[in-house]
Amino acid sequence: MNEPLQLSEDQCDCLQEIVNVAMGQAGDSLARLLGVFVTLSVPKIGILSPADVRRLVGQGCVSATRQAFQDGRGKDGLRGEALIVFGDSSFRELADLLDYDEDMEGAAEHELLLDISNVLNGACLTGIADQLGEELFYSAPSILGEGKRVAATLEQDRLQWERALSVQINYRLENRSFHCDLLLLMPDSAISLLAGKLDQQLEDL
Amino acid sequence: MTELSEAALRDLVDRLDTGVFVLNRELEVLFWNNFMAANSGMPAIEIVGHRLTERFPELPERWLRKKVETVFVLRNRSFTAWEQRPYLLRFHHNRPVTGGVEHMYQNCTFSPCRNAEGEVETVVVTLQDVTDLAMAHRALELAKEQLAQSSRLDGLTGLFNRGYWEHCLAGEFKRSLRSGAPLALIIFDLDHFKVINDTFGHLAGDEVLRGVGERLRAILRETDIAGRYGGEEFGVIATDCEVAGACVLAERIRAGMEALSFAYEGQAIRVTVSLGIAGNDPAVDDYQKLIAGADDALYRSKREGRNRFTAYHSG
Amino acid sequence: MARKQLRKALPASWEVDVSFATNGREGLQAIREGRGEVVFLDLTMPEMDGYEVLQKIREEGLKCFVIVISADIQPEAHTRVMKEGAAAFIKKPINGEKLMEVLRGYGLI
Repeated sequence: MNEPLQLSEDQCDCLQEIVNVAMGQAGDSLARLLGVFVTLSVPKIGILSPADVRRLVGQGCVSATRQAFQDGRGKDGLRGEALIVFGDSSFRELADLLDYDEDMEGAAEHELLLDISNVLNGACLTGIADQLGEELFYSAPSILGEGKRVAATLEQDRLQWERALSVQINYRLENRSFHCDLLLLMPDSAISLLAGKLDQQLEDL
Repeated sequence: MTELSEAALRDLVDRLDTGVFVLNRELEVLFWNNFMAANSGMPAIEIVGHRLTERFPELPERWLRKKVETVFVLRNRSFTAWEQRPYLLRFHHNRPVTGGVEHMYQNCTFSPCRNAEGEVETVVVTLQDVTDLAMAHRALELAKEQLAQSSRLDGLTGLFNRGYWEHCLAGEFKRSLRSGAPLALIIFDLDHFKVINDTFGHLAGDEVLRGVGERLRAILRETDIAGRYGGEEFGVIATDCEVAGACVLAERIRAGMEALSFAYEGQAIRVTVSLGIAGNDPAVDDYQKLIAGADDALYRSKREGRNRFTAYHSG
Repeated sequence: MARKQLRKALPASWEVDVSFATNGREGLQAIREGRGEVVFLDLTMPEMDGYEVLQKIREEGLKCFVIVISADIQPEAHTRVMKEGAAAFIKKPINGEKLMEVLRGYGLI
């Protein structure tokens, strides 16, 4: 069995603060995109099992998107996937905020979710990378599924890992029904590089 | 030479099998590569310096402005995918022969392009032709649909098979209980089918069954659901239909089958059918009882001389 | 981490006692106990967020000088905390010079 992935308390604390700043930048991006105030809460850092991910993504999920990110170093580099889980909210409301002209039907709804995912993931990942002195490249977002199909996509056999480092961020729009959760997941292989980067930050203090 | 010249780089961009164009914040085109020119029929000289939306008025301008503005403000890439937005610009596909599509499917990426001060000055749009991918995806979806369909059909007659037909009956029965709408069931059976098989062989028998299925489909309303219930037994679910209406339908089926004539190796094969009808009166609380009632009525038709229909009466 | 960053940004020569709180409720309690003449306040905190702390400070008429240090960089967040009575708003990650400027501006150092 592999060395269990673990960040020290200091490293966790450091990551928490970096994510906090990145979350703020992403929140600001979303606020500017939609022209509304975004309510932030404290991000959560943790180690998740596939069962945890299924529980988090499966509950009350309306739609979910995924987007991959990597630093160009290859399989041991800083990389992972960003999932965004959208709760029950009004698409029409969002469509109005984003100047969508068309009637909101399947495809347009999806495009809207992909646009928002891209904004949140892009801003958040860029924020994290900037603070670590790194550059992250990310793929185009895609729809992971809707409702029960998300859970099916994440069935046991599809998640072939034991643990992943997770960063969980919640975004809400003030006075509106919209809310979503951003879940950054990084595999074991990315942890040692990340831990090194965090140590550098801690040394600078 | 250790580095490509600017002219060589430009040539390279022009040779790409991908659309590349550059927009400023006002949506004016600053660059338009060969792929864009060749596919749009609009040469660079006619569009550079003009607003994209002026040259392509069919573009959803409000949406595009927001998309481009987002890249300027947030300084991050933005995307469009064919699944959600089949194309940005309506281009012809490059399948003039194999066809099957009406336009090119496109994936687009909008990337910020920064100047020396790090400010975003322009947006580079790349447009990828993903028509083949989209076609393959659609073919897969179609195959899945056909597979699902074929698992519901009886291979010989093309009617629903017994399993799926009963599933439909259960569903329609529940719906009628809820809505109070009438529902009738017709079950019929070919008279003396064994004789046909024995005299002309099984191939002839299959031919007859196929013909009966075909005629049945021609007779039925769109809302009737027909299935092959057993060997030579068929079922029809008549939705929103009283027993009286089902009797009219049953008579049309009876007459329709009687009029059939199959030419087989120089001989004419004729068939008749016996039918049983049952309706969902309040005493029927289970679709199985509906089947039992129709079966009972069918048996009476047989006993009373065949080539006729009977409606079930309890008691 | 945020505390270490703040301590690093504060002038070494500044002769003050520094107390730290891990959430809004603890922070408010420290202010009530008079341990906070100058308060560096985060906005996103567990238990009680920065907006609520500011509100309590105003409601209870607590005497302190609040500098908000937050990752929430929405212009609207800035406007709101200033309305709630904060003296200054500093974006995270903390820019040491900016912090010094604020402290100097209010004659705190």
